[in-house]
Amino acid sequence: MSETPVKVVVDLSKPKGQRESIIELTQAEIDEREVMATEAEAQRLVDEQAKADAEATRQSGLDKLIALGLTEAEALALVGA
Amino acid sequence: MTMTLIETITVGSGGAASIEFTGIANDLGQDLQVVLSARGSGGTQAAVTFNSDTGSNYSYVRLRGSGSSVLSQSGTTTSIEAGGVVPTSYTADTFSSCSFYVSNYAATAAKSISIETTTENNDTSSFIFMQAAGYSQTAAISSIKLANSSFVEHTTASLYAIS
Repeated sequence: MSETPVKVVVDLSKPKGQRESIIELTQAEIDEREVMATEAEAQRLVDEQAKADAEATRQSGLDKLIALGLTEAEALALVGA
Repeated sequence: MTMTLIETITVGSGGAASIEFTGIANDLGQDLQVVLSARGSGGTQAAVTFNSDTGSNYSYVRLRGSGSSVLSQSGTTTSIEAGGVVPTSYTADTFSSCSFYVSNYAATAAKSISIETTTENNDTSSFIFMQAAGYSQTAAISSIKLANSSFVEHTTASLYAIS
């Protein structure tokens, strides 16, 4: 396996069977790839936070319904288990 | 309508940072469609560019659902984020289902693109994207690049001509 990341290129102007090439990335392409990885990690963190926020909101609503006198089963039936 | 498979790329062992269709003739048909089944280490996005153009010539409006939240997003960017990749943190051996359709790819006018994507995960968090995108340049599309930090082995991309 090559240490340098590669790209798969299919040149449709060539006859079938001769189209595919595996080409090592240039330094500029490697830099672009690293930016993408950084952006992906940032997006993953945003998604995790959104998921945590949604769960916290749900639990807060559940707690308030129980505080109003509903049983936990009744509250869960309203907000979804 | 006739849908003709032009070529399929399958990523081999070791993975690949990008997949590119080049040398696309302008007489394949009226439209192009790319069907992508992908998994990668660079998050959920496959960045799509045409004609090696990384200028701010791409625009989008999209809905993005994650299983716990929905976002409506729009903007102008240097690539279209097709959102068609299952990240490696998701359930092992699962791949995405992504399709994007390029209308009038050879016309001397701006191009419109529609994209549908789902990712697969045995968890409460997964993604679905619905997207309308635009490419503002008027040259015929002769190459399509799909990039991720690293597409894993068995990722496939197929290019179809629609006539």
